[in-house]
Amino acid sequence: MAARNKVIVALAMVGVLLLVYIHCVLIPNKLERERRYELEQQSPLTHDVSTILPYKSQYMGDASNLTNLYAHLPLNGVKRTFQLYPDDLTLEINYLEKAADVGEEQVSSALLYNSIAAFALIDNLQTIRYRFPDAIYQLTRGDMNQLLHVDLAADLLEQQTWKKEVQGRIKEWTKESSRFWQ
Amino acid sequence: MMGESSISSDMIRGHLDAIILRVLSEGDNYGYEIIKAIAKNSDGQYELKEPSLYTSLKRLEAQKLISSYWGDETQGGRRKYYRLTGEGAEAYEKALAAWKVARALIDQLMERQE
Amino acid sequence: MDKIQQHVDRLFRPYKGSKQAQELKQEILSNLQARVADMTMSGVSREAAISSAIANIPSIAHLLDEKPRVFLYRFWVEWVQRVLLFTLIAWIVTMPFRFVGNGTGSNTLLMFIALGIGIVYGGLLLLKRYDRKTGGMNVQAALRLRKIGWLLWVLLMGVSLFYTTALHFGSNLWFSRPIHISGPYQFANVAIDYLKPFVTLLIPLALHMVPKLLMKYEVGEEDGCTE
Repeated sequence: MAARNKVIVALAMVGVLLLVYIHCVLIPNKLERERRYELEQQSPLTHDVSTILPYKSQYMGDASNLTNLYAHLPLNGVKRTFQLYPDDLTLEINYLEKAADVGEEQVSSALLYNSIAAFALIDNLQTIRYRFPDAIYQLTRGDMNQLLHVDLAADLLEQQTWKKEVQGRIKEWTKESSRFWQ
Repeated sequence: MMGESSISSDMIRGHLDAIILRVLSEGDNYGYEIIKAIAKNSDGQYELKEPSLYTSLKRLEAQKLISSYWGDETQGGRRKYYRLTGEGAEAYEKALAAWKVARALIDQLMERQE
Repeated sequence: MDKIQQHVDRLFRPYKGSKQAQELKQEILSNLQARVADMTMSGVSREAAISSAIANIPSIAHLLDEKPRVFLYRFWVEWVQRVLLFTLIAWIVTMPFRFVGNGTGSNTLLMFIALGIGIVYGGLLLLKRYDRKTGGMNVQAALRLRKIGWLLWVLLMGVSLFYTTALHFGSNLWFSRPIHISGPYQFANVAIDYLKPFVTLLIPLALHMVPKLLMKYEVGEEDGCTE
């Protein structure tokens, strides 16, 4: 009986310590990690390419696939609607916030990055048009190949290649991409 | 082994306590020997079943008509001996007297008078 | 006399730990032995004597008190103590649920149950003056309750496992598609959904201990009795 009382007291203490450890150390750490990860997903430089691989498709006609893809790319915090023009193989995204409010610099690099991802993943997508209340940003697969000097295809999406070839050079491309603003 | 009609068994059951008290009035005894003594007293006509014996003994002990103690056998299981208490001896005499009265009355009631 | 011993052991197996039953067991064993010895003396073969002796006592359930006297206070203290111990273990074992998120409620519930039982236990310990209090407790009913408890629990588990499986994999199984778990987080979620119902194991376990403890704290012939 007495021995069992000691075990009970010991277990209660272990339980409380464990509870405190989980709530004061493990869970805050996890939340912090998740917060940092979320933040990283907002920047083309640190975005995790593996999250968009499931949305690879041959055809641009699948609307839910496209919405899901853009939900896993930078600028996913900005409210938007999608419009498909299958005859022209064109995707149009209407952002509800002004580009100036989000930040011109940030928008430019994010749109470039998102477009590279979309062209690499969706085989027959030819044109993407991003409409903001104060601006339009439009580019084609041809523009892209020209700017990057590579053919956009799925093999670019391999983690290391993507980091080096796309995320490593996104800054310099962004500088040259101002002509896509209309 | 020993003959026992269900009718007599039913009639005896009501008097089992007194029958056991009688055996113990002749000396302390343990379970199997009590059964044997009853069989012998009935000339082999009645054999008490063990479960009925235990039930009776327990009831008698609860009524403090008998008391029990453990024997000091060295081999085999320990035997539990039962002893008649003073109250038990009184109860036995009462039960015997009551039975005699009842028997006479029942004889009188049941036997046709010529 | 081995066969007799075996028979008597089997008769008394459910009452292991009961003093009253131990005494009756001794008595029955010695009487059966005396019967066999007597019968073999009068020329019956050992085999026949043993089987006739065994046939004499087919069961003992009605020979034992339905409600033997039990040291109530000691019984409740140890029962509550053991239940508290099990609840604490369950609380600690399910603690990782909190980290995953799924099952935090179950873990919190266990913590409050443990806290409640702990308070009851502490209160009981303060009532030490009732240490020698006795009362009749129905061991047979406790044995029945234990059986019912396990039966219901197994049934509940069956239903719950079926339900969880249907929820997670129902459509895969129905359309015979391969089961796909998309990562460690989802795996943990599914695992917790399966493990959560096992927390209710505490209930049949608590019931399981009752008859054993009742017999342990049964008032024996050598113990003085106080009401």
